[in-house]
Amino acid sequence: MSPGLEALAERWLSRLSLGYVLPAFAVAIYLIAWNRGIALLYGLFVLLVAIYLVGHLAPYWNLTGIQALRSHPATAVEGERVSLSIQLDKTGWRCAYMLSVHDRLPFAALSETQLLALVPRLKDKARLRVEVPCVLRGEHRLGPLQLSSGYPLGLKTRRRAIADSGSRLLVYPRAFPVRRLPLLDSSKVPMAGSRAAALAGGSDIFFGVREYRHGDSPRHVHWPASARRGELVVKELELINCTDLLIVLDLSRESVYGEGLHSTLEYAVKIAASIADYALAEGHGVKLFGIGERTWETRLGHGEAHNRVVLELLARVRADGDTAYAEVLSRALGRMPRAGVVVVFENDTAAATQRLDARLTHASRHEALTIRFDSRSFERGPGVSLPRRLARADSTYQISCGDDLAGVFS
Amino acid sequence: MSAQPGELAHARTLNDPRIYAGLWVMQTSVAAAQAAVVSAAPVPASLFWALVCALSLGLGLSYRAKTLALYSQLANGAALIGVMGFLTALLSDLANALLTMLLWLLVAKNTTLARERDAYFTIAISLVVLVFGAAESRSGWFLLAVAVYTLGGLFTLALMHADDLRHRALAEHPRQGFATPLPTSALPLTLGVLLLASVFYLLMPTPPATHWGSYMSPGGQDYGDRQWEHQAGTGEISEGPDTADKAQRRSSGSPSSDPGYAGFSDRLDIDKAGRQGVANAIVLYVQAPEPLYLTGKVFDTFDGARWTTTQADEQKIALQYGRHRFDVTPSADEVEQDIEAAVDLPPVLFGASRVVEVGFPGSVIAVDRLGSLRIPRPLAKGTRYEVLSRVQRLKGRPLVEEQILDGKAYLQLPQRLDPAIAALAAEITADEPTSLAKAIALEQYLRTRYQYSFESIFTSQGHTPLSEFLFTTHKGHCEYFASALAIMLRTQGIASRLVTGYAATTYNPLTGYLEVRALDGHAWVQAYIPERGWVALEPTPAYDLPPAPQTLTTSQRLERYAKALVHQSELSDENPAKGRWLPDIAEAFTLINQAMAHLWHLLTAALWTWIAANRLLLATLLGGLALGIGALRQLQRPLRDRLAQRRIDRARNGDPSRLAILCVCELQAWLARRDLPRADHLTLEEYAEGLSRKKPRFQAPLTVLIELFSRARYSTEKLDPKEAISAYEAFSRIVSSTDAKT
Repeated sequence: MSPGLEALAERWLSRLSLGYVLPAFAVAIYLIAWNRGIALLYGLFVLLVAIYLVGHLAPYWNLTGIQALRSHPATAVEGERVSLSIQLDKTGWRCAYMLSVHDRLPFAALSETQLLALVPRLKDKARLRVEVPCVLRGEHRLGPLQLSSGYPLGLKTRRRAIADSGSRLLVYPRAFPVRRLPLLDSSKVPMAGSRAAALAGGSDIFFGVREYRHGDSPRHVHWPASARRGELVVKELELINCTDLLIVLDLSRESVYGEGLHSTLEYAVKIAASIADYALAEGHGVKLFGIGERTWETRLGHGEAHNRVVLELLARVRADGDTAYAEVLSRALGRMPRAGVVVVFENDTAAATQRLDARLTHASRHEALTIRFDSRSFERGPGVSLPRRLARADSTYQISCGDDLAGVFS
Repeated sequence: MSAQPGELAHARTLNDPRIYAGLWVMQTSVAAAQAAVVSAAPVPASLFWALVCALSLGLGLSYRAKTLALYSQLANGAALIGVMGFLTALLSDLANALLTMLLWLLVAKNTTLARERDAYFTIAISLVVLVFGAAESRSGWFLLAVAVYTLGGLFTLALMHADDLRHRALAEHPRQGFATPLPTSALPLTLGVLLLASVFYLLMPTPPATHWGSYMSPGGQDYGDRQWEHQAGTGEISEGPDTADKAQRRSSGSPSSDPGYAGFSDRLDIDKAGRQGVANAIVLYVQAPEPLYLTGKVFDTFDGARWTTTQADEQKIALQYGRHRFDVTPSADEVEQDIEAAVDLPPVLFGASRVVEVGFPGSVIAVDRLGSLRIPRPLAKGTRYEVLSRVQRLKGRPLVEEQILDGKAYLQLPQRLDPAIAALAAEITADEPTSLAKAIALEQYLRTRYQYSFESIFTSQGHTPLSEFLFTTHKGHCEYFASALAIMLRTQGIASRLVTGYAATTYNPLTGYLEVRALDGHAWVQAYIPERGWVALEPTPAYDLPPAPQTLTTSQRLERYAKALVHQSELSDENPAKGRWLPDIAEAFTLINQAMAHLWHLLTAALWTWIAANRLLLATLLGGLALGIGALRQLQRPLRDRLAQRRIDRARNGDPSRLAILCVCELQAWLARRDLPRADHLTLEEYAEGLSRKKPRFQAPLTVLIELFSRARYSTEKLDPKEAISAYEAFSRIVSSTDAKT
């Protein structure tokens, strides 16, 4: 047989299934029975019809009386595995067989409903535990949970969506370790007032006390004073070298290059999360700003609690805006109470660079930490990543698609 | 999913070894059923095929793991055996040859059975073999094989489906283990399928068979005869059978080839036609739309103890492509019969009178002036032929339309006839006005006053057998009854003749065949009614003329079949204990049918009586019902709203979490009643978003409700009473604004 004919035959064979073959056989047997008038052949015909009907109706019956409930943590971090727990409850005396449990898990980078588990036999209860990797950050709506069954013959598969089985999962971006950042060394930071914060290796010259504020380290609580006052007070130990860090995100649709995990937006979010984590751990203040379809903004905050606020915002941001980055930057700078370090993201197109240079020159109070994306590499996709050095004296990082960001920022 | 270029369809490897066990059950049941139908030694043949299938499937099981050339060689060997078997069996029977080849092909495929497509292929072959067996089987026990096959089939297909699911699940989650349990539900599933099939079978109407194509078979016998063919070619009419034919008839009429009835030779001795000690085996299988009396031989001359025929002139007829039409005039009363010999029989073609067309796997047949059909050789077991007969009725009795010009032969009386016979006949028919009425009166006299017995009558000195029968013993077998009636009719001037043949009146609803047994060999009478023809008469009380076609349910047919088996069992001299359960079965079916008929009659009669007596009340009730339905439709929504509100109000004092959940659930139903349903694929938030777009005032309360619902449903925290009040207020706001005019 020629290869073409063979391929055609295989294509037709692949379309044949029990759902077509059974009725075809039944019709053929009926015609023979009708021609010959043989009762046993009529009996075979009704047997095939009965099997066909049972094969189509049994899945409906198999799925009745089953409830399902999904539970999972409210948040996760990109790259982690999320543990989903699904409880199935069956009422009635019958068992259910060969159940497939499906769910829509957009955080796993799957657009379609995915098979989660197979339950061979369900009598009363079953608890399933499935671990799914978080690939995409964001606020994801899970579900609805679906049960499907083709029991017993697979002639027809019925699916049933479980009512009220939707839930939300917030996936934070994964921050990478930043060892140091220029412009956040204490020698370069202007004295900008006094504030108590934790700084590794800092000296402890007593300066005074003040009331406790959210984010202050418990190590600096002045317990005797707190006991006397009846409220928490902290020591102002020294003039700490801390900086206000403003991270301005470019959430304009047109400025995003690349797709999915390897887009400039995702890289920017990871870098922003990592820088914010580093800066907050170092005792600096961090403010986040961006304008998409709505304005995304945090207050200027300190400490671990503020890190969570930053991460929550970064988890949700989307590049769905139309505002030019220069405009966004201008508004963001206007919201900073004093000079600090501004982290800007830009693509390596000449026009974008010129605009930003003009703005930053005008508002020269701030120091800029620039993250520049090689847009062409993002358009091409992930390639070989090479460590980069600082390209310019004014703290610019060159990022290409596929770069090891931890290596870049080490 | 379509196969990609280069891919094989359904090529997934079978992972579950239990599938092979299921396939073995299917193949063995089919092979055993087939062996029972065609093999002379069904038990050894079944064991043989069971072993061969087990070995070959065992090889297939190991073939999955190691794909050696040896397995392909074994498969080729099995296929070669199949071809050799086909060629060998072709000498006797094409169908048997094809079947042999199919079974060996099945074995060949088994040895390399590793993939899904291989399993489907073997299932398809086994189904074809089963269909073949169903077409050939004449026994209701075949259904047992079908039941076992169904069990094996459902078991196998369920396992294959489970295996497929497992394969797909493993592809997505390779680290997880998925076990497939034994489908113990296969047995209840099989019972359910068989029950459903039985209900369908009982209710399904079966149209008349079309009989396209010919199904004649010579059964391994050569029915050619040069002398006959020559006589057919010359148009020669032989005056009775020649010497060779007579010798053959006598030999074929001997007990060794006669399955129990000696009424088909050229003479019938009525005192030697007893059937004591005869095995009541099935001799013929007949497919016909109604029960029939099949004519074998017709006799017109009686000498007091022996019937012969004076009109034995035979005409030989050459068959054109195995067929010959005697009467080209079409008629609506033609009945087709497909007849198969189950044992070796005399060289007679049986068929209902009057035969208008014959289809026979031979080149020539003979017909005498009385319409009896003869063939050159004894009718061999397995021979299949077709007869088309014109069957008409006169007062429900079979009638052969024919006009006779000279009825002298049919009025002949024996020389030493006892005058008391004529006197008796005259006395019985004195008050009857017509020939038909007289004939029926004589028939009924014999049926009601004489007893059926297999014993032969030993005549006493000076008495003829008929006189002994009529005036002394008052019992005898069917030849006595028929002879007595024929002679009594002739004494009253009514032409009559004796007919021997088989009563094909036992219909097996499981197989669809009329089963003719040895004890159905029978003699009856045909009386000539002027202007009409020969009407059949049945004087023997143990037999009934075949009734006109009736519409019966399968249940009624089963009842009749059980009763017929009981009757056969009573007639037979075989071990009486053998069929002692038959009367109970027949009784059970009778009771079921009577109960169903009685219940139906009661219900319908009561219903009609009540309707007739209460027409006005019924009209009022119907009108009220219509109004009620209309009113209910109008009031349904407010009623349901009211009930929902009551449920919410009652839950207010209970668990706050439950109240929040109940508010959301009732709200969805409330909005659905107002054409704002929630689609299955929407989450609550998406639903709320859509609603808020349509009705902005819903947004705030919906947000509150959904937030409380989510916490109540998915969180471990309990809601506090204030939050329950918020939920209730949000619910009430939405509900009250749904009915407010905007």
